[in-house]
Amino acid sequence: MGYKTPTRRKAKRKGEGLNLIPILDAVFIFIFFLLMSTRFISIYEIGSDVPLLSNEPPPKNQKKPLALTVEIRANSLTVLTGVPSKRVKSISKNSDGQYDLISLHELLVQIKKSNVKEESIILEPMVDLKYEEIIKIMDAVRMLNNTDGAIFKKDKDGIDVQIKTLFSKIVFGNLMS
Amino acid sequence: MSRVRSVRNKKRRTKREALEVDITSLLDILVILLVFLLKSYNSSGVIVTVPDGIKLPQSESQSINTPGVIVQVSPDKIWVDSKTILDKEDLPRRLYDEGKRRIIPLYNELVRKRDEIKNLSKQTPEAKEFSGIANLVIDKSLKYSYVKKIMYTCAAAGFKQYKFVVMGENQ
Repeated sequence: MGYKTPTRRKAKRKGEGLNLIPILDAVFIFIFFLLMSTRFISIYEIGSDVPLLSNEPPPKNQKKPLALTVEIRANSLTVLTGVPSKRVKSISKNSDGQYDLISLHELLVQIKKSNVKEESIILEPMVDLKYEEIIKIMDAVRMLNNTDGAIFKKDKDGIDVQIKTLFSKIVFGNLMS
Repeated sequence: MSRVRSVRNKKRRTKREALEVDITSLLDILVILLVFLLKSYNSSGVIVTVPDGIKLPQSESQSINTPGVIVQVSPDKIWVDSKTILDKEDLPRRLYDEGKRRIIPLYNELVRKRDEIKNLSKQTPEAKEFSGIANLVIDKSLKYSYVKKIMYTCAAAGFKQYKFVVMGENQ
């Protein structure tokens, strides 16, 4: 009967370290390509309220509403204020056939400076324009740019607070018509 | 005999060298992954899915998304919370009412959603109340006349606020 090596002694073999570096290098390159082909999309939102219709007369002893309205027409943007509405300015399309959103923005900044507490604006598209263009107009009326200069308003304690938005409460005026 | 040897070797067995794995490369990968994931992290907790066929308009907006019912509109289909409710290939007999201003299938689904949320909030105290917010994921090529119908239908179903979902301008 020959000598049989005990199985436990066999298992005593010296532990060898697994060389994972080449496979990790491959995985690293794979992930790099994967990430390069991935598109991370930042999704945001623009708020708008549903217009409320009421037949009741406006409350007395209250400051007249600004009722700032932008009518989007085929060839121009018309800015109106007051009740009944009065035309402030009509901005024609520029030479490229695009709405002149820079002029609209500048005009709204001027209106904001004299109505710092006002937040609302009514948009009335009179033509069947693309949704993309409406978003561009909404951006022009709601955002204050760094180049617009600082506008301040007084808070409850009388301290000056910088305004960060132009007319951020957008309502579509002709939605129910 | 073999049992005695086994006991003697017990100490020697435990002396085996520890397996060493170089994890430097793995950590490199994890760091890069972490950077990319943090860059794309959205703290709002709202998951907005953009179906095939919808290209979102770009905007300068930086407002993060608010939870609400998601209405997705492509030129061919309308979904409510990713459930197809209107397909141009399979249009119902009667699509509009109220002077072609209200889209009937969309209205029915939105009313059902509203009632479901309201019932749930009545039955479960922890459940969120009906916020009246409709997140509108609309294709940028659609015309205002169609978008207006969507908005009108949402308002008719009791939704008081619209949130137009847009894509960040740095995309």
